[in-house]
Amino acid sequence: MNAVGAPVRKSKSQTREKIAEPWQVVVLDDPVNLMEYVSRTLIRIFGYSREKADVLMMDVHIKGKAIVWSGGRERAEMYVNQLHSAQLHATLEKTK
Amino acid sequence: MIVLPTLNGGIKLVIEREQDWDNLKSISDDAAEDFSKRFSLLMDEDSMWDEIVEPELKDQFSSQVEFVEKQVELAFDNSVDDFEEELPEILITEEESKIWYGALNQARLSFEEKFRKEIEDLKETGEIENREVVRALFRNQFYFRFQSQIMDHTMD
Repeated sequence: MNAVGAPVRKSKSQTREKIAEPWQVVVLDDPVNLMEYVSRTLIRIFGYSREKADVLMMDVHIKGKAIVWSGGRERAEMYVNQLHSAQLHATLEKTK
Repeated sequence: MIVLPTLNGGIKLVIEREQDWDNLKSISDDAAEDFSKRFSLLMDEDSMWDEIVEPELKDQFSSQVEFVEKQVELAFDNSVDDFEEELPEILITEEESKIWYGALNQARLSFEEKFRKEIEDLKETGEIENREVVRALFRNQFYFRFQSQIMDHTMD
């Protein structure tokens, strides 16, 4: 039991839960990247089928963004890194 | 400029006129801006993107531009002055085509950022008065077509 006024520290399990919370990799629309390039990049990085990649690419184009992957933060950051490396505009969002 | 596929999966650029050289030499100038920060701004502070990833991206993007600049310079220096005698060529391997694509993308990103207002005006009025913008627009079209041809012939 914590004494009144004593600082509350997060336990290791709480930290692990934060990392394990599902995160979304979101690709954002931009005026430069070619549609075909976006599809091919999604296929290369995530191993998606041509059909799935095209659907996601069209979501990016029409809706302005698309959730392309969900899962743990560490892996999500790795994917965003790869997308940025390919010059696609992407970010991380916590799954609501 | 003609872009042809090669047997080893790369491409060959055939330079047809002086303007092609000018456009190719402009890639490195137009792509000189640092875009690595733009990607960091998309991430939250917890990710420490600006400290960990941004320097890597900066190196990667600038090396793409440097590579293209050197390859164009070398090809230009080795070319024959008289176009009627022999059309200059630049051979690009499949792996190098990704580098070229990245440099062209940076040049186009730079154009969009620099001339956003003028592009909007053009969409509304159909006119551009500024000569610098007109030249940049033509270069941007060249980059766009070139990127599309790289996509067609490589990067599968």
